[in-house]
Amino acid sequence: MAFLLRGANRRRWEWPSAELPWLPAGEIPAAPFGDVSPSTDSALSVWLVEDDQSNLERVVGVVAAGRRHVDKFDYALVEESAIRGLGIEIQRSPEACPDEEASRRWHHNVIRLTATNLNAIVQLIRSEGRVERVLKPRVEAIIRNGMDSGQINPARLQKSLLDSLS
Amino acid sequence: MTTPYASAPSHSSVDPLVSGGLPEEHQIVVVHSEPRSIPKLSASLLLAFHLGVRSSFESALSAPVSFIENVSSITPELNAKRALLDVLHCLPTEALQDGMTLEIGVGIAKNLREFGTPFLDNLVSIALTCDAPAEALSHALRWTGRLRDPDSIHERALILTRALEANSAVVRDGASLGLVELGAAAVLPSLRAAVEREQNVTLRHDLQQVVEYLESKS
Repeated sequence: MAFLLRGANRRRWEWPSAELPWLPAGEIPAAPFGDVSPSTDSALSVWLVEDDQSNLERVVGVVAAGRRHVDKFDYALVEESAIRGLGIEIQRSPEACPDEEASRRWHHNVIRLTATNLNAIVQLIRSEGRVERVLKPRVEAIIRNGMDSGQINPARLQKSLLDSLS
Repeated sequence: MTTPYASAPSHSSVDPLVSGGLPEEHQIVVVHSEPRSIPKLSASLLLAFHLGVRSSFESALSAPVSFIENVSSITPELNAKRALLDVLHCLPTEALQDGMTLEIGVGIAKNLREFGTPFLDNLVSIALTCDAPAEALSHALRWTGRLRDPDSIHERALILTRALEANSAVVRDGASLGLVELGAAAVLPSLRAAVEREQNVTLRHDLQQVVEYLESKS
């Protein structure tokens, strides 16, 4: 039972909430769709996380290492089989990033997405998935560990991110 | 990108940043020696002409001493607020992503250096009422905690703990993340109180995570 990870913002996934009195019963607010914004060819970048989640921190590290400075990292995690169960295609798709091996092994795109698919994915994350947080000090440690072990190539990091590590 | 004061307002909706809430006969338009943009300068001059406002030089010649003192104490505060709003609107909403808000950090650092405490006072005031985009405020508060400025650490800790009482959950979250950056265990009592009163279940969990992190450091 592998999982799919997508970078997210935990504050987008809070409903029903006293802070959303305007939201009609049974409706989804638009906010979580900001975390599943597809590319121009209707694909969504995701990372495969193994059944035992043994590569979870490495995936967190590679995504966070692509940023301009270190910050906390929120992510949504949902079972891969549940996404496939919606009839949605998932395609292995390595991309340029600071940890090329991780990208080769675990980066995927959810492809040929429709608006209906996106709605179903949001509902699925909300009902069966998890949206978790890694605080900044841990993210920083993960990136450092990745560089020390040679998994993350410092030459592929933005200078501002390297500066924020020092 | 539109800022709240980029366009010339009508007479009935004068921007408080321009008028400063002064009686009309005392209204002034501050023209900076180094205007950030020609359109803003033009808008300021157009507004001055539209309102029939006297130049500050002319006002100063005829104004009573008390008025001159008022103006000199209000102007830095207005400038601090204007600078803060500039920072909070420097990135479009879609660019406000974790790890991607360097411009906000640069703005916070520059203006804290320039304006000092009034800048932080304005930040907490706007944060409490959420008078700016909540996500921008969240990132501004994180940067406030992130700055490497030991001289202002107590003021920044105070601002961040006060912002834990903001109306917006996004802003309260940003304040707690700023406290992680600050890494000061002295704020733990305020954070624990914030956990106790937090009604939002997932945010309460996040605040508790911050408490546990700071406890582990102390």
